Amino acid sequence: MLDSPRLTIAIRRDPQTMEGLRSTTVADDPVQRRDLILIEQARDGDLGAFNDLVVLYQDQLYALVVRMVPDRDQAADAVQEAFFSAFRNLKSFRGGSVKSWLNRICVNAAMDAQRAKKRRPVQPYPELDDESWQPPAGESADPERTAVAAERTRALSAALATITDDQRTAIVLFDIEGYDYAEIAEMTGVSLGTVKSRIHRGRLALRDLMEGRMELFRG
Amino acid sequence: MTTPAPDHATHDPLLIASHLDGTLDAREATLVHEWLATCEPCVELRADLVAIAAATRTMAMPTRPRDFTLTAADAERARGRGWRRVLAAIASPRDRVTRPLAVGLTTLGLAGLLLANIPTASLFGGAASAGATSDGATSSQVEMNGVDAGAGAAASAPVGAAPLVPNAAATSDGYGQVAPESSPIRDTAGGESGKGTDKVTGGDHLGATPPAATGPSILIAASILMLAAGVALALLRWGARRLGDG
Repeated sequence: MLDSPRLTIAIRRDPQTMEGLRSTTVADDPVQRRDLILIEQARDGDLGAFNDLVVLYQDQLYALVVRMVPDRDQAADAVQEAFFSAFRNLKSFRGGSVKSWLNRICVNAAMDAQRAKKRRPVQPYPELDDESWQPPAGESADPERTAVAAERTRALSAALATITDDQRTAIVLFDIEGYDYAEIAEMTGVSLGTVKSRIHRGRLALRDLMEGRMELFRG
Repeated sequence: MTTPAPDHATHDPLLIASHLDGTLDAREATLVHEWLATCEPCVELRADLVAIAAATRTMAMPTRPRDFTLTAADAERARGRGWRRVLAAIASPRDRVTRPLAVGLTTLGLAGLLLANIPTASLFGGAASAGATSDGATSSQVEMNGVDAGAGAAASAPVGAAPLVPNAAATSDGYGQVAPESSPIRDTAGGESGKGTDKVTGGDHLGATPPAATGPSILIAASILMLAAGVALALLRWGARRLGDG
């Protein structure tokens, strides 16, 4: 599968911004066209085509889900469940952006995992002690700056893991994934005002939680 | 330069957070601009919120712990046919049907059973109570069927008390009190009491209705059915979720 020509196309693609995806039509966008071809093949029973989609999006989707569900194992399970669900519901795909479709499935899976976590709490947030969080792309090689960035990420991750699931979901979708208020409202099934309130209250809560460490962010 | 404002505590931080995304109306925006022009802690808060939003956007990306591609066996499992698919749907936290349905059926079943076991007389008149009062039997011993209650009352009525079979219940005032033949209640309700006829009080018509033996039994059967279905559905959901969690 790794030698498949489809994957070659996938690896060569330029990263797309959210705005870029929104402003291009399906016909103009080679990424969209490729995704639609893969979906079509997968619908015809080609598991390899579906797995090419998985390979293309699993990193992004895991990054999305693990921020919503801070427990890494639960996040991985949620992503796996999302891909199962996507495969099961290939026929329900109605066109448009495949990435958005997968994102929505993953957001649903993450919210399911959040509910399951409430039902059966696990040891909270074991990811805070591990070193698997990569430094942000483009970060300076300066060791001091790298250390500060790592510390900032750790502080922010810990604070994000502490605020409510609803606030975290809204902040991740808005600040990290770049969805607008209306899209988040639709994805999470709440009103526009609730989305705004969750984002703003969430940011205030993050600030309160990191009160003694704000110098990491100020300079 | 801004100065510390003693009234910072009265400044709403939520408005400052909202100002960051430009979601305030003109009046609120003007208010926040005033705070930002005069209150140092408000300026600090806004700067911190901007920094947090920026840091969130550029947060490190966590590495993926495993590959999520599907094997042929996974694909077969994901397709999930028949009862597996049904169980998966029931186990899903997004399932909004099973739980309320189970609760509704169980409640209806319990309510039906309760209703079927309440003596009819206590709801609609004193027929059953009359029987119970006259012979000392408890109301639970009296069939909830008005006819049975009436018959019971008639059978156990003291001699001379009310020779109005099947309207022994006619001697009741509807509140479990046995009214004597000359009772004003009976007089009033019957309207022809002076004639000493066997007219019945308004609340005692149940005692005179023809037997309706199937009524309660149908209610009981339907209630048991609903109760069983509700409990079964709840157990099915619980089991499916346990399987899903496992």
